[in-house]
Amino acid sequence: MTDWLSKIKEISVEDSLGEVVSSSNLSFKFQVYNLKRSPEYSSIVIVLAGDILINGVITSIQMNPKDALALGTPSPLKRTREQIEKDYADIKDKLVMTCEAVIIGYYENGKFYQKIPRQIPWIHDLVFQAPSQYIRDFHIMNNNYKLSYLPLVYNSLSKEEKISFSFFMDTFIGYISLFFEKEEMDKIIRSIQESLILNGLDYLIENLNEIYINL
Amino acid sequence: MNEKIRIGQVIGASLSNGIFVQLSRSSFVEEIPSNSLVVIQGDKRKYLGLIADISLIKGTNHASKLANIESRFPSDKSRNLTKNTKELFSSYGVFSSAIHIIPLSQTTKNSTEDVDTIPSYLSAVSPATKDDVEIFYGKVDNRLNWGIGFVKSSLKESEENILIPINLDVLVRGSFGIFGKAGTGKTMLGNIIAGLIILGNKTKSFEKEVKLLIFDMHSEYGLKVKDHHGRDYEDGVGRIFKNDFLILSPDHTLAEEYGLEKFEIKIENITEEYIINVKEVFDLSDAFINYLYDYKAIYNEIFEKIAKKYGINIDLKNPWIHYLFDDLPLLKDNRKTLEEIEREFKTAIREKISPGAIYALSSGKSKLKYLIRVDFISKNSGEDSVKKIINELFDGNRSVIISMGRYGDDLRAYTFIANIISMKIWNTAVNRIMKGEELKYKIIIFLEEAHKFLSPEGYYKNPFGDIARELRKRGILLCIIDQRPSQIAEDVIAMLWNNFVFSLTEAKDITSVTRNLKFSSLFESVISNLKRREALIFGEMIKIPAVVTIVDYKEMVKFLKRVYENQKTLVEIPGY
Repeated sequence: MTDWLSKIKEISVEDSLGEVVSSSNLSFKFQVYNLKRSPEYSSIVIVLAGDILINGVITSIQMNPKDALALGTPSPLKRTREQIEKDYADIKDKLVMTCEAVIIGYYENGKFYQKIPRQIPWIHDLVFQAPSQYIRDFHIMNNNYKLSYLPLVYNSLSKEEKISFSFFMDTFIGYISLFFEKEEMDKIIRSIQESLILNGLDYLIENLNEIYINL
Repeated sequence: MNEKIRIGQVIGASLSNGIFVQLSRSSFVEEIPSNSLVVIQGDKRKYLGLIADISLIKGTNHASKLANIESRFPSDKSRNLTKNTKELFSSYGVFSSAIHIIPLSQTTKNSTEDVDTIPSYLSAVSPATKDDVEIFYGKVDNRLNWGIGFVKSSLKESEENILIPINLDVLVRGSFGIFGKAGTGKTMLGNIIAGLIILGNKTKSFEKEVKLLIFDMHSEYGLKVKDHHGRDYEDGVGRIFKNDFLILSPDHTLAEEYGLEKFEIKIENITEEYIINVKEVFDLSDAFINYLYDYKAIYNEIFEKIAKKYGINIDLKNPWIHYLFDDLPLLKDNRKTLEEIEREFKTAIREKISPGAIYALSSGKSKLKYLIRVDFISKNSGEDSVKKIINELFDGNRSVIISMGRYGDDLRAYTFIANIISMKIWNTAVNRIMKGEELKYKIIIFLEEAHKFLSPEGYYKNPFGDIARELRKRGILLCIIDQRPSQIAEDVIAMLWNNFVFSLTEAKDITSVTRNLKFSSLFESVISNLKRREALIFGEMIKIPAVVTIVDYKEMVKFLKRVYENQKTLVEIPGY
């Protein structure tokens, strides 16, 4: 099996997505270096946290002026993105994109775990986009398909966010299905269902089913 | 080792509400039938229980949503996903099913006893095995303990046939009831019980020989038992044990066709009491009944006077009865005399009773005219069948079946005949008892449509009610067979020592038969869920209530014949 720690360490800093700006044992926020390579909502990212890789799924993305207090509300520019880039070349330095990711597992000593790591991401740890094979390996453990972390995601959300969890699931299932064949997805869905039942979230299963049917 | 199949575990229990068991597999709901026996292995003792109800206790909301999704998105993907989700829900307890068990008995160190404890949480529940049944119910020995039905297995695929024994000697110590809707198997069971009693006589299983008097409404005891489609199925008990029964029929065409004895009642033997006993069924007015003895006295006095006046010599015990049934043949040629008697009779009624009494008489007489038309009322003189029946039951060698033939559905004929015979039985028994004689035999009267005789309003006035109340200790008992037990007086139901209850649907009927049972309310669903041939049996004859599938009648007939033949051989051995 791939030594993912070495592999991620080999990726150049330039190719990282950003770095952690705050963290806890449940989630972390990271600031995106390059708006053009911003991560997608509900995608999986990796934090290089020393000798472990901490995996997170993005549950929130925000974009703001760098110094909100100094600049106030941005003034309308009446331009397309391309025109703005041309006319205001330095504007990207004045905007900041922050993503929030819920911790869904980690990689340590050559093994993946879908549970909360003992360590938390440190501020300034680098954040990477998860490669396709990394995502597959994270969800195939001992030849079994496993996706048991949705309850972690759900439980870390605020009350308001929980209400719209099915919308998150819709996007997430679409994202995850990009990495698996149909038969594999059936097994992934079953694993999600099991995890929802075991965590008392079985009332989300019919939503999940409907999302999957309509995928 | 043949390991027991664990079908579930106790998740709740109370002595008043029974035991709740969560099934190990949700799919067990399709395999475990209600009314089957289970054994619960507690920490300290074993319990025997009866499955009273099966339910899907959890998951309705999910099921509804899944069904909704499947109907909105009808595709293979959707169907497969729903199927897989159902399996997952079942294995993780999101879909959960349970059984409700009536505790019937519990083990002690060396025996069994009535339940006064409940099994602890998570006690394992398994289908009852043959060994379990024998521990709790005992064994069939075909001498005292006879198998009349099989335990219902608590797993559908199980083919183990385990017989539950009833103690026949105990059964014939008190009156008993066979209840159930039409077509559930009452008559077949009645024939089986009658057959076993005949065998019991041969095997000397009883302290006193037992005679049967069977009022056979549909000729299924005396001739052929019918299946639930009404087709001839197999010989009735009267045909199986021909030598042990005197079979009579008031339907003389039937009697001639099948070589039965004709049942006859002579007009001269009819008494006023007979008429009083059929008041309701003949719709006789209160006035007619109230004046009956007055009519008799007046008529007989006038008849005697006028007969004397004209020198007519007619030897009649009770001319009034002959008048009532238009049976005065010797006076038919003397019309004037008849008219004179009639005229004087009416005048006397008007003067001595009231003018209204004439109308009551005329109405009553016309209603009783029905009896003139039936086969079994005879104008000849001499002894009639009633006397012969009484002789046979009290002193003879045979039991008696009265197969009603075409009068089977004629309530007037049935109640008239049954009342007369029961009254004679009562009178004969009481006379003998008063003389200090002990009755030679026990007599069990099989009475179909028993509520016609033993209703709450009527049973105090009816000879069957007298028999039920007063003659049990003297060995005259009733086997009450009825579809509507709620229409039988509570006192009578309470007198029944044993009960065989087939399916009933009316709540009142179910309540009336379960009233004497512990956990009576829990047994209500048991009774309404019984299938054809299944019966809840309880009482002194069986240690613990049980639901059994009554043995196949044809098989039982073969068995009865075989045992009877063997017994005859044994009886012929000197000294046996």
